[in-house]
Amino acid sequence: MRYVFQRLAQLLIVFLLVTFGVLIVMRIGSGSANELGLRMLGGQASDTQVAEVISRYHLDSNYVVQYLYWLRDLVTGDLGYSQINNMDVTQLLTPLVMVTTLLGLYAIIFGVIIAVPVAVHQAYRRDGWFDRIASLSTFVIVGVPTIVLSVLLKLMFNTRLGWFPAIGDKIYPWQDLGGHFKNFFLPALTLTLPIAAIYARLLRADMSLTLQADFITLASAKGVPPRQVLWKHALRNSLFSIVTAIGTQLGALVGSAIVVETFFDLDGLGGRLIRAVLTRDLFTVQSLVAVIVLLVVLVNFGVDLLYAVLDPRIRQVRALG
Amino acid sequence: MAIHDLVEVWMCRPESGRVRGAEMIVTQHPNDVTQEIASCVVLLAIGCGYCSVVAVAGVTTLNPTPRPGSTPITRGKFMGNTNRSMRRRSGLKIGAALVSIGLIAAACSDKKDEAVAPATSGATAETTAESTAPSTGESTAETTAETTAETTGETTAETTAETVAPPPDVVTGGTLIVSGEAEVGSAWTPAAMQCDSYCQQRARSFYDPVAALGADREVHPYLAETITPNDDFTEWTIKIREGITFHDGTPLNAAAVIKNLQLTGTGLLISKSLVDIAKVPGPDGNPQLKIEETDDLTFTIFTGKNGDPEAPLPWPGFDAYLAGQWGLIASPTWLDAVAAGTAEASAPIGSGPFIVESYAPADKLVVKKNPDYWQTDANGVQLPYLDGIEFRVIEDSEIAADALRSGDIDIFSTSSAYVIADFREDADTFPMTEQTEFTETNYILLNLAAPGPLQDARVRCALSKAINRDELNEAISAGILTTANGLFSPGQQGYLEDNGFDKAQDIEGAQALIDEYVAETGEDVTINYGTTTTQLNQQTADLLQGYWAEIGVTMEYQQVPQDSFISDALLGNPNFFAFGWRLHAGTKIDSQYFWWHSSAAVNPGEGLSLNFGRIRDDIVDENLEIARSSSDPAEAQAAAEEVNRQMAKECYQIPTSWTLWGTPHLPKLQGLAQTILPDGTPALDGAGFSGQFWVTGLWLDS
Repeated sequence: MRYVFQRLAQLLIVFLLVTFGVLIVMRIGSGSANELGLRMLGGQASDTQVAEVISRYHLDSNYVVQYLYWLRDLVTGDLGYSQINNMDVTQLLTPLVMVTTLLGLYAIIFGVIIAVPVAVHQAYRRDGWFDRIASLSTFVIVGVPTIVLSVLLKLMFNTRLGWFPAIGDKIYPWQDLGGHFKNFFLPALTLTLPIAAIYARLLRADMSLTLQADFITLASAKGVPPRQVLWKHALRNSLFSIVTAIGTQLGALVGSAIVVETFFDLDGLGGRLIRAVLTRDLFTVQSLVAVIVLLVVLVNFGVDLLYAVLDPRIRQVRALG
Repeated sequence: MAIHDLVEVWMCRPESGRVRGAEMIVTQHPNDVTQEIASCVVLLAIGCGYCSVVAVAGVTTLNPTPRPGSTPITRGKFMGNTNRSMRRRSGLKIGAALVSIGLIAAACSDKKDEAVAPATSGATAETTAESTAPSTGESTAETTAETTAETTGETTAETTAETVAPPPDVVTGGTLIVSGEAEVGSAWTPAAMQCDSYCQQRARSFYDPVAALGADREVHPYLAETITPNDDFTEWTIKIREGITFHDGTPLNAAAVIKNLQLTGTGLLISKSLVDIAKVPGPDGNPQLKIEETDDLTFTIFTGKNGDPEAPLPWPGFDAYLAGQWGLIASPTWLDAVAAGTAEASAPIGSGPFIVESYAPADKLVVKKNPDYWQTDANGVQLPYLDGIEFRVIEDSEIAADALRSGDIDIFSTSSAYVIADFREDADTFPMTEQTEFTETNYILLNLAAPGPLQDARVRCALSKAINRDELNEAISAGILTTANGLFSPGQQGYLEDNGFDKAQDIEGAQALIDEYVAETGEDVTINYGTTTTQLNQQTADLLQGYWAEIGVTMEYQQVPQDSFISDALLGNPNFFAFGWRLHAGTKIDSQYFWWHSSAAVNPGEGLSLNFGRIRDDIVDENLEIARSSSDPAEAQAAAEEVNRQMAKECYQIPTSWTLWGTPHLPKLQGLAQTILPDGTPALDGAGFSGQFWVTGLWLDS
């Protein structure tokens, strides 16, 4: 429990530092409070309107004060108002979070589902034809930039085969499962393939080493079926690589999501973040970054907890403080 | 999938028009052999590097290094067998080499780019940089101009001036999916919305305007039953149609329209374009437009020079402003609720053919048929024909093109030259209407109030002469745009084939002017050029930098964020020196009045200046005023032409090309350019904004 609180405290510090940094970055170079207020109102506003915005968001105060007010509003659920879009940022964010979260979940879950059996079989039949083909394939996929992969997949599945739409629509699973699958398949596949490739390579390497361990030899000698040796003993001891990768790859996943969301016109956190930065929609940027940072830190926290689940020795060490 | 296609994708050739992704090779000089060789070298390096990595990976996979201390690798269930690794290693290297050679050969092969069909205007002259106006798609400046004034576009689809009955086989029902390139700012109150072309497109689905432009290029009443000027065009009496209600049941009457006109006409966005409407003190003491209600359905608007009610101004072209953003009428009940905070500005209520169902910014606006719409077609069929429309925002025109080809959208409008060029070749599959007249001009907007060399006409004209517009056209716009000789595009009042401006590059002439300026002032010429952060604009800037370097002018290039691009020009901020810009669509010069008249020029730091360039020219002013007030079309035309000549002579702005708009669509979409106005005149698609089309008369042929 002490460990949990320690990690939470660390993650909170990360969150505060990152969001404060974003505020400073967005404010620097934005000019005076008047100029900033005018920009937030779309470039054309009366003096009264500008004064109102300055007063509401304390734009004439120092950065720390502005940040504290923003933090207070964040805690109370008031993420500010997007003048450009003429609506509350909270209202803006919800569908965006849904899209990016779904895409991210699909990428991670299906990435694991694809990677694990491939890697296990690779390690089991190391240096065989399957191992070589899979290694080459994962290497190629990892080396392909997301945008190129997007183009290739769209070219194949949309342009040539016509199986999936060129642009995505925000249809959620609970609204229309078939429609959801059709609209999210290509974007999700674009994110999943590199993730799966990375996980497979990591797991394959880890499994290969684990399979050389003495306890595996002993298990085989005892007559434990190969399937059990692989899936129960070797895999469990090799999962740390994937678990770690889930945490470390999440930031990259968000970056890839920006490309994918833009390319498939599926408006999510990433694409909106770009737009908000370009239009200097300050509160949208801050809120989006806050959400992304929160997601990343929470996932990493979950990863840390998962270590303890996978390895009893870690539980003991942590228990001992 | 052909290998060539695959390689094309990999190598991301920008000129193919089909490939997105990093434009690795900037073909500034596409015909330059040196550039081609450089391209090959880069691709060679990529190919070799890639295949080398593959080869190494293959070797590593085949011959893994055992962990230190581990048991030796032996044949067994859980151990690999590397006895064949030596043979496989060689094979992989050979394979990698072959792939490299293949990539290089494909990359450096003389790929025949798809032929570009000639421009429908017949001009094969230079295209110019697609210097888009600022903001997400088009500038609020551009939107302001095109919201208040008539902006018409004559499509190549044939429209006649006679009344056209709808086809007897029109099919009602279905949902149309439309795509556009930019999102509106501050949606959707007419007074506040920063409206570009696509915003106008959408707004006219749920708002009706007071007036509209017909195929005869005249203003026709829409919500109004009659629009009648007095003898000297100083008073305009408008009678509203009876029996129309807004979507919330509020009746449409004179009071409702006056409320809208006052709110929008005195708002920050539109008011500066209505300076010559008489102003009187309002109930709150603030000036308001002089509009007098005669009866429940009738009211009169009074003109006044610079707002002076004692100085009525003859203004024959005034009614055109009722066809723009100023004339869009929202429910007054809803407007009051928005002001009170009890309704959302993003959930508009109008009287239009469609009702807003949902709106998600930068994503989708969904409208459904207004079952009680007040219009029917000539056969008595209730309008609109469609059950609904889904307006999507797809900022990248190539993605939108893909979506159309996949059938994910039904229609979209674009000014992307490459996309238009592509669809010209697919005309059989995807019909496309093109707007080649009354469109915007791409140009370099100069801040004439900025201290420095731009205040000297010699420098301005030298900068203009140094540009190779043919090359710019080829490099940036697939060669399909038409070089501009001024800010008056073909079809506009004042357009001249020869306005005294020579479009051809003249380095010697430009150099002479610069030398003269330098000799006289002793100062070298440095230009700060700003543009928005798009790849094409950056390429344009690179080309301009090269041209101006040839005449000894140093160009400092800055990328300006979209949100500050317009405000910088409006306020005359210090970084606004020369901006890549696009504006000035429309038929009549009167719609350009506030962009060029000195009364709209405000010095930097003193307020908002719609006259971005801060042009102060007596000849321009005088002729703008003549064109505004003259009831003689010939006199107005002559005045407009004089403005054209004067601006060309003084090089107040540097034109590069005229925009071309294309509207490709699926064949099942019918009724494009066939909407009929309430008085039976065909509407003019493109009216309001270039690329815009009426949706009331559209239908889907199942």
